[in-house]
Amino acid sequence: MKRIRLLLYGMLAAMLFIQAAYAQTKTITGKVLSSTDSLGITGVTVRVKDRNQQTVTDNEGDFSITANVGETLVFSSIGFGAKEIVINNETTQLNIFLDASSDRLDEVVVIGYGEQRRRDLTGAIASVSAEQFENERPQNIADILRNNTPGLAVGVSSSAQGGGSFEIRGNNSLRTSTDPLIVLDGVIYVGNLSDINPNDVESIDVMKDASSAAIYGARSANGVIQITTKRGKDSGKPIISFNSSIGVAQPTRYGKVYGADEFVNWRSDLMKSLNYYNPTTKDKLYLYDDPNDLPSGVTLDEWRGGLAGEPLDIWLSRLGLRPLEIENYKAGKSIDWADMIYQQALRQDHNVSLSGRANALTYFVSLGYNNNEGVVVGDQFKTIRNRINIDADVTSWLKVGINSQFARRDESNVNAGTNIQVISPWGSMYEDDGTTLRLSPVDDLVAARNPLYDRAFTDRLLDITTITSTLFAQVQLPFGISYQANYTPHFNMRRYFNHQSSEHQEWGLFGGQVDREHTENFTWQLDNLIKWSHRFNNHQLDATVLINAEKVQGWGDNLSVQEFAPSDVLGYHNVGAGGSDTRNMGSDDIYSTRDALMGRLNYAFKDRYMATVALRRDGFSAFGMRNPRAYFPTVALGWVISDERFLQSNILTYGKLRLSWGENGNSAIGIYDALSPIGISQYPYYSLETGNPYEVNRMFVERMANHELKWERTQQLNLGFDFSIKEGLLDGSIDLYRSTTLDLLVDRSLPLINSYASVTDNLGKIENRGIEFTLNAAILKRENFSWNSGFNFTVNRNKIVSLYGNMEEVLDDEGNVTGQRESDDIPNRWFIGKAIDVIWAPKVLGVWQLGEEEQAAEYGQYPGDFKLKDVDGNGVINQEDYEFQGYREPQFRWNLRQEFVFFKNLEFAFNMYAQLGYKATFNRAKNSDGFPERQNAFATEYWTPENPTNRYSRLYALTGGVPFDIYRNKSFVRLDRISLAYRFPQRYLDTVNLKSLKLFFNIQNVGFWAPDWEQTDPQAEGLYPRNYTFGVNLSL
Amino acid sequence: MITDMKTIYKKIKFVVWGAVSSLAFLMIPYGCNKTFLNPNPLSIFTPENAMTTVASLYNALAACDIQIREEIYGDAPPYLTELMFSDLCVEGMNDNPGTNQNATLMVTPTGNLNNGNGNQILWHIENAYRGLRNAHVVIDAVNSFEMDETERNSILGMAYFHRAMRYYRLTHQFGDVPYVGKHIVSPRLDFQTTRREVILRKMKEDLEFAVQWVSDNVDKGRPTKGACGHLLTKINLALGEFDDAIASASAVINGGVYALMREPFGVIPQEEGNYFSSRGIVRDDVVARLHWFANKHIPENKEVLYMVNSEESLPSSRVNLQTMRQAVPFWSKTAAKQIYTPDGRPGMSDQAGREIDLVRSFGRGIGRTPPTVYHAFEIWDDPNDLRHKQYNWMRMEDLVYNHPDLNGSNPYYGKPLQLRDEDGRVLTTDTIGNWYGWPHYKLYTPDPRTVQPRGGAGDWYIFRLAETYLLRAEAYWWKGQPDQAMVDINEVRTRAHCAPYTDANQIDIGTVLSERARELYWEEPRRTELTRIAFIFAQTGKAFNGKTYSSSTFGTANFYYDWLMEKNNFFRDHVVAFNGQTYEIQSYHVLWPIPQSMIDANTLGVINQNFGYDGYADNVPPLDAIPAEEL
Repeated sequence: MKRIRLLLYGMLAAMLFIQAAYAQTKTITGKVLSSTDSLGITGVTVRVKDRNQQTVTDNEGDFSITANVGETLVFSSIGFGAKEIVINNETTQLNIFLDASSDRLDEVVVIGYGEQRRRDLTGAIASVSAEQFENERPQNIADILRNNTPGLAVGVSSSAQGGGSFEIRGNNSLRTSTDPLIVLDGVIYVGNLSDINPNDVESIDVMKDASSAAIYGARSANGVIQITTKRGKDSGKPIISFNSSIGVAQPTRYGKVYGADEFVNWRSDLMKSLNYYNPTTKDKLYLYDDPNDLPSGVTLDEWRGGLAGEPLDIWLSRLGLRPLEIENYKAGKSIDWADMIYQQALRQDHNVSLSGRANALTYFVSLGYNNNEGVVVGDQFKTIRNRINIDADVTSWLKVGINSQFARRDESNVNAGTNIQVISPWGSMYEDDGTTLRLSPVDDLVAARNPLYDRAFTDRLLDITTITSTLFAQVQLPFGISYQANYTPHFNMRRYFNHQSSEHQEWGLFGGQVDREHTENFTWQLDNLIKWSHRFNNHQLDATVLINAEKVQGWGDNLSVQEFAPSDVLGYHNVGAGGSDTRNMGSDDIYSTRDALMGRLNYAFKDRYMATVALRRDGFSAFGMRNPRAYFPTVALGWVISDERFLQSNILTYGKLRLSWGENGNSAIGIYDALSPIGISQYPYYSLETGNPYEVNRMFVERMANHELKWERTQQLNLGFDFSIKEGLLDGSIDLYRSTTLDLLVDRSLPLINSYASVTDNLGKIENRGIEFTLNAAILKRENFSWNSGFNFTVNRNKIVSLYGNMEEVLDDEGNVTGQRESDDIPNRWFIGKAIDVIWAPKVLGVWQLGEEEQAAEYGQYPGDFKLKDVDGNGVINQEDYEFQGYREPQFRWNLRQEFVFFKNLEFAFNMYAQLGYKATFNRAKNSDGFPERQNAFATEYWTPENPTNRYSRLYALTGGVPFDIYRNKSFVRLDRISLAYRFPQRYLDTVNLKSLKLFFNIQNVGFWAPDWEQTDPQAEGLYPRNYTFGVNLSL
Repeated sequence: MITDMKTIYKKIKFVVWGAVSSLAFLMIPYGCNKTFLNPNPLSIFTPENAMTTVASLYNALAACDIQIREEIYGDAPPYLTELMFSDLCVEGMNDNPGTNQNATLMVTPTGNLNNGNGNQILWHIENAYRGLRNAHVVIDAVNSFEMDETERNSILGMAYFHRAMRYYRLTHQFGDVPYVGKHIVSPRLDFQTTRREVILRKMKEDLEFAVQWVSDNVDKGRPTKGACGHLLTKINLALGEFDDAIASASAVINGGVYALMREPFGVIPQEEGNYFSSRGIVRDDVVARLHWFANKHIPENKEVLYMVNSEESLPSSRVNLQTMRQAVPFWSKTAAKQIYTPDGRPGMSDQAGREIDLVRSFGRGIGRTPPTVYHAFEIWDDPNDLRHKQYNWMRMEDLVYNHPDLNGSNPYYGKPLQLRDEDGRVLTTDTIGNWYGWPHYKLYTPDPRTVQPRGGAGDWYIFRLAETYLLRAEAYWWKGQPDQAMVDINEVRTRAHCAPYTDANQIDIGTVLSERARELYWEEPRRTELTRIAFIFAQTGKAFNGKTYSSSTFGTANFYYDWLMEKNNFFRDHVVAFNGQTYEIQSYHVLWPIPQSMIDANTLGVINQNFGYDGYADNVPPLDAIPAEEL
């Protein structure tokens, strides 16, 4: 360490002295032309390789850039093959011809702490560029990535804020988060993804294999997502872009409940099912029949059973309708509660940006406003996001800049309750006065609360303000060495003020309540990067060294108070008015640190054989008791086989084999999880003399300490093949991988005798294997019509290889020891040799049918109850009868994307995807939730003697005391998006001095097909809204 | 303009570059600092920084006390599991298919043993070991720093009391269990079951130390010397050492500190709602006052040995009892099972603030603990018994029809409830959960913060001197001295204004159990005590109803099962509950199953399963001595 520091100081000092004498910098001018028609090409990026210096060609294709002798200029533009030129002493004026190409191999891909052409990569990296999602108007990063990258699974969200979970290449962790690491403009991003405006994003690169991710060592086990934001370009004049969209979200698939008319029939069936097997009541099921429709032979008097009054009153009261429901039933006043709590939600998003270049300064400034309603009443998400990216070429050897992001999220929404399945359609929204909300729609709080009641008496402010900035300086040193320093402060402030009004019937009993919470977090990171690039003959060497440190500090305090006097009309603004006895306060301050050292060497021979070697050492205070640091190595090789003479062909125009191995870490645990915290709460005693009460703090050791805690590590071997057929007509890649995760961070379940149910520990070994396949085809390319197609396919299998290393004896039928095997963790349902997500449970055979009364009785059940498989036939269902029954995670995923351009200006695209071969619980089939005799229920089919189904039980079925779940296959195919865009022809725009104008329309979540799944969206296992969006993009 | 811009740019460039470069140099040393990565817990205590003062030991002891409270308080408290498999009550909830009527189906090692709507056997074993952790934190820390020896031994004695409490319950709920004697600080998977007698013997030693050092002069809610002696008596009984039991009980009774409350004291009970006030009913007698929440902790109350506390005026520590919700019948039940007037109208309303406000006077019960015939009728042998006096003990017939729709239009409004109409037709369907009497004097606690009260913040007795008398009575009976037993039982009876028993030949274990039922309902862990008595029968060979028992056949023939078959009509008659479940229990349920998850997770040792349950065949002989490393 000392040596590195010395070297660094030395180099920086040397740089300051040498720089004056070192002046081989020169200005190079030139023109970039198309090789087909020799016309100048606008907007070609001209970049000094391995330095952040670049410019863009003007309308004629002319450019001017300063560079040093020995450096390489890279010319790249969408639609053309890139070209590299080495500057020698003679270079002053260049004419560069670029070949038209749709070859994705020339795209520049962001790798950790640098970038590379896709052609030169040794790792598996998937990229998405801004143009790809321009017409789809994603509202957050998750929307961009969902399905655009094979191997990356992104979940869905029903909230106004949107988002979704991420998982790269399967689940390789038993406890910690599977969220990948986010790297924003080259710096590890510790903020919230919703604070990054998708409109500011230029491109996203997903590092999936260990080798490429290992550059980020300790936090890279779940992959790395690199987000690059837009920067100013040399466009001749400042460009103002304005884009705006407005849309509607529609609730879909929230699960229908019994409507007004179905409700009474269902209740009648419920009461019959309840009484059918009770010897004292089973002969009187007619009691629950409609008095106007009695079974033959039953007189109204028998039916009355001694009860007086209107038959309708008696009947409805027998069905459990409360007086209010009966009144409403007679008046025909029903409520569809879904209409009350779900809504068509308005969504709007407006962005403006200014970018360009002035002298040596490039700038990109943007401001965005996003205001989305959710499909649940009350759900809303608002955010204002601002970005400033500035690069300044101070001298030919120094460049400085700042990337700054400000965001303010408003999450003050108080949503309506959504468990409408408990509310009778014959309840009332209001009290008798017709305006005051009714606390319980059926005057029975145990049965149902009004889903709109609590929010009407809640006043909330919840906002989060974040500022994330990176200040950087790049210094060009002699001999191809460059030094870069990034300082990245991140500030996060959260305010939560909540007032529960005393006007609320229940909250009034304690005089209203106010909660106030403040949290501030401040994180800084420092990256020192030294790079060296050197080319001699056919050898290209690139070396990178990183020294990094990070510190997180947080301060939080909270206050809660009740019993306001004289009243709580001031809401959360005057907590001093609360009763002093009721004050409750707390604070939670946090502190954690990390550091890192990394070295990487990229080597290429003849641009045909590539190798990468890297080693990273990470430190983290969460493991600081014994094992604060760990090493993460990687090796990767690439071989462009199509450049070999013996393999050259006109069909396979490009082919590259990649082989990589690397180790990644996972440190996503609580920063104090290794420690044994003592919880404090209060307990009252009474003075022996006076009898007066007083409180003492009670101290309670909450968790077992584990000072040996260390990193979880994943080793991954990746074999990849990239190919291009007929110069990009068809290109794609196949990756095979096998990863092994060791020292898993787990909540290891303990025998309860330990008095702790679990301890955070490093144990076990998990293996993930998979295949990812991507294919892109430029199917047609005509003057007035083009058709591009993309397809990807992912399969991943995981397996627990080892858990805690406890061996048990294997016995044969005679009880002789025949060997040893490792013990499973049965309480956690983790089995050696099985997948983490395997389902191990009693097998449901169907439903006991009429005629099987005796067999059912053996299990304490009746016809209509679910029948479980008694494997050993001993009359008891226990763990001996459990079976493996499939998986909770999709076994296959595929995604298909089709893009069409008609008449140059009309763009149409759609995207569909599938997740196949997985199951989830569908316990609604048990028809036994809640207290149905008082509540409503999801409209689920049920068994009756007349409907002897095997898929659903009778209403209110008995389980025979065995805990079990009903599993259904969730496999589905979704038509995810349709988008349509019209680009106004340039010749019209020129007349009004517009640079570009585009209108677009898209639908997200158009529909899906899931043959075995019902009621909810299979992916969300609940509601997943459909969004219609219309928008305009305008540039001046 | 352009020049200006240039100057500004230059300035920005200068500042940015200056800032970045100086920061870069400043920060480099961080990466190499040896202490940079040290964990720094700012807002959390750890054993290293917290357990270092005498005060901290008392704070840790409070964790033991709070944990005793958790069994009784809140919705669906784990205490219910003790009642529902006893002679006094059964599971009354039947508006849910998964409840607990059928022990054969529900009480299995792999069944759901952690269900508020069923049984909470898992809670009992889990929390016992969690309580042992709390006690061991104190026991381990007591010698780690200098302190006065008297205080040290008194603190240690209190911790021993808590440890013995947990093992007393464990060994009578589960029989032989693994013994732990220290705070476990690193994971262990090699536990072995230790014999029940071995554990109890160690507890006896500890409590003999505790009664020497723990004081009676401690604030209410802390364990007292009297509580230690009381618990020691139970353990002496469990070990079959009746002379020691008599001696330890006598030390508490004759110690001069505690006395049965024989005269009214403290304040007169006054319920919310208007049932009592509008009828001019005042419940004022010694039993009503003894159990009134405000009188439990006052200095005049000499009967309490150990109690748990919850005080309405201290919101940080208060929790609600919710005893009314659990134990009061579901008189306000709606739907098909509601209570009708004799002329066939819905009769009851649980809305607060109505003209006849029953819900605030009694609470909105959900009828989870319907009594057996034994508890509801057979035990009440004296009409003067204050514990069964009208309005202390509520009968359904003392309630009145209060449905607002009846007001003014129906002759039954405000009239007492009837179970049957003139034709003998029963006016409610669910006579298990909706229709039974209950000890209002014990279960009622004002609940001002709940619209439909469930039982608010109030204290609860854990050990009272009345039980000490009954424990000594039991010891005398086991010893064959029924006359002495009768004297002790009469102490408790006469306080409740019952006539004393006079014929010692009539005194047997049933007399003791019935007196316990009258006096200690919702206080004693009934099933634990029944199992203790079953163990003593098996150990002593003493006959009951002409039948003797032995330890070797404990699972197939025991007093617990026979007594339940005699006294619990639900289990005996296989009553079918409203949800179609049959009440059923087996002789092996005298001990609860060890949850399978616990056995499965203990991969390096064998935790024995109890007789009658799956997995019993895998047992190994239990340890006959406490392992040295646990001492």
